[in-house]
Amino acid sequence: MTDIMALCSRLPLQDFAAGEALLTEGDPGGVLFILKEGSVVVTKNGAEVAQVTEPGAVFGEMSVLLELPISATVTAVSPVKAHYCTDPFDFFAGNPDFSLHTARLLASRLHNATTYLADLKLQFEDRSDHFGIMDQILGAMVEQQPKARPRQRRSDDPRL
Amino acid sequence: MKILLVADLHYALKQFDWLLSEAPHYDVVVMAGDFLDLSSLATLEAQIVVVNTYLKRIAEKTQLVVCSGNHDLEAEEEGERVASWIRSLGGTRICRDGQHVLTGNTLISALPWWDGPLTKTAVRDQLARDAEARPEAGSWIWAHHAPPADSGLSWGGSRSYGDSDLVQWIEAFRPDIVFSGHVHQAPFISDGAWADQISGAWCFNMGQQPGPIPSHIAVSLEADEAIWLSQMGLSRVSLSGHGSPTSLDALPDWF
Repeated sequence: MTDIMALCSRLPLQDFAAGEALLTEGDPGGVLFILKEGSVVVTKNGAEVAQVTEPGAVFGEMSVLLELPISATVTAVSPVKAHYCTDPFDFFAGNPDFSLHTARLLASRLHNATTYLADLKLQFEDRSDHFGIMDQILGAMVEQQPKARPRQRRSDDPRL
Repeated sequence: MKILLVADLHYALKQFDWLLSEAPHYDVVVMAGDFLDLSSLATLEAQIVVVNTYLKRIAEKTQLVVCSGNHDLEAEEEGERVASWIRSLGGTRICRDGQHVLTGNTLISALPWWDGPLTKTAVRDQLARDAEARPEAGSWIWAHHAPPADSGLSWGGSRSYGDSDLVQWIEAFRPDIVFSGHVHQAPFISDGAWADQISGAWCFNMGQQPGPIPSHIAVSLEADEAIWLSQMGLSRVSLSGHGSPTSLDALPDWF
């Protein structure tokens, strides 16, 4: 996986106290945050959709790329250090590795959402009760951050 | 206390829906691993979001105990595969891998799937710690995905898929009840079982069945009885006796 922290090392850092918002839903956006340390919670319409602690997690990119208002509030739940970038298009243009990382992030979210929907269609051909929470699930899914995959399962495990 | 045991839901969303609707009727719901399905069209990342949403909703209705299974390991730490998403579960009414919960005078321990020596040692250490918290007059229940080895609970038809370390732990720590899953066919095949007594502990594996209702086990500690509900029908066992399970024609009053 791309060493996202190394790519962001020249960006300035900002400290946030617990309870302080990095981004607020509905605000104009246009700024990128990259989590360096600490834990944040992502909320949408007041409901928690994700807790994120992984260094390198990117926030604000949808708003930047689509020139839309911030889609979810990101709040520090512990003291947080985050790199920030107030000129993200220049940063994307000058850092192709970071751009590629962001593209992969967005592609993996899209892949997750579409595979979820494809499977849903299979499992619920005859019923509709799960659809009541589909919007909540999609809301949480678009806030996921990618993780490294584990190795293959052990071949010498007699339980498998 | 009325406890519901399921396992091996493997991302069967209709079975999660059923569990969500049943949860309010029980004091505790135990989900003994294999929430995810490695062969699903949906990515593991997507499945984790969906399952997390269900678990939080179930925990809004009752006390929930969850332990990881071999299909739930989405991360790797120090060379061992782990279910980090289960360890990250929060909430006051979710007891997950590595934790225990005391409900009345019943202690329930949630034990992770071990993929290597580090996690295996962690399970052993957890059992030693939890043994100290065991109430003097009460029950100690474990949730551990793999059933004990060399038992009908782990019989796959040609060999055992059970955990021999679990057998040693049961002998060493003497729990009252062990809830497992993992071997889907065990309760449904010849020489298999849904209930077995090992070193004095009643051990269970409800098996896996298709359809909207998972095969499941309900336990009443007051009535000293466990019942198994599946497409095979209804069966019971007395927790205070040593007999084999017997079939039932009707649900008991406590249910």
